[in-house]
Amino acid sequence: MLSFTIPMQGPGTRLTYRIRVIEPAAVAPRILASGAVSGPLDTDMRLTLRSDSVEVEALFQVTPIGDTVNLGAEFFTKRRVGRSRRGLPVWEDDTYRRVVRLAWNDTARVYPFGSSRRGAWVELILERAFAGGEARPAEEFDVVDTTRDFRLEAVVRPRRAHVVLNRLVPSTSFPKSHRASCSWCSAAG
Amino acid sequence: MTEPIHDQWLVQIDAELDGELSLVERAALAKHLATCVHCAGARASQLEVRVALARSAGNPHAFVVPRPVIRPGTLTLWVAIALGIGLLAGWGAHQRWGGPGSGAPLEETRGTIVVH
Repeated sequence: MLSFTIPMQGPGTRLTYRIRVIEPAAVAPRILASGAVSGPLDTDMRLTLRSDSVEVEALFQVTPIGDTVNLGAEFFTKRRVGRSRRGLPVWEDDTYRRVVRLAWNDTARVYPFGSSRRGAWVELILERAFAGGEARPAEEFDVVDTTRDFRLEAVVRPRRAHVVLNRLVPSTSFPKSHRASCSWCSAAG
Repeated sequence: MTEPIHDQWLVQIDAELDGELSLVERAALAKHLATCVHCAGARASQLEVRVALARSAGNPHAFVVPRPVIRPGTLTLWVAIALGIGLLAGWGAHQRWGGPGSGAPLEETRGTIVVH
């Protein structure tokens, strides 16, 4: 006998990460890509920016605290630092975490390539809206400059289910009339 | 056709002033200089240059241009000093900047989040 315990859906709140990847330009900043990831409150967002010399993968997570939200980001960065004596590329791996607190609908500016403020940056707005129930995560990403390698993904942590297994012993659990007619119980003795 | 001949005589003049010509060659050169104003002028110029070099070396009455003398011990010492300086500079640069990669501090190359 199996019994499942699945947590009930809480009040529906839908989280939306709205992002724009912007590059500085001489006249006005240029939007390279824009998109949004939405889903239940535990939805994370993975943003990947890749070039010949650097690769940045950032996993954003939110923790709502009242009217504010804690935005955490795990950065996985690979920078090309040169070539080995045999001519193969040498990469530098770096992993670190950043956390900021902001109000809902505020704009956070992420500088994935460093605090020197050079190169592209990402504008991120966190929105929440009440929904009738929990719906699937959704993602949309529009890369304006197709020569760039950008990716945006929704990441959902796996749901946990509590499964209880009860073993029923035939000799004590079922009446004699059942055991006589049941091949499984008679085989079990 | 006269230029190659003059070039050859100029080489001979140089060798004569260095004392590297045989008597026969010196006689031939003297004979040519007696008839060639161009080569005679070149020889005079060469001599003036050598006098100037001898004066700058502090020996205006020298018979030949004084040449610097490199002693093997001094050469070895300077090579050792240059190697030592190179090794020290390399060690210092490695301590300061490490291996490959930019010299910028790590935090400057890391991403940041700024709230507006």
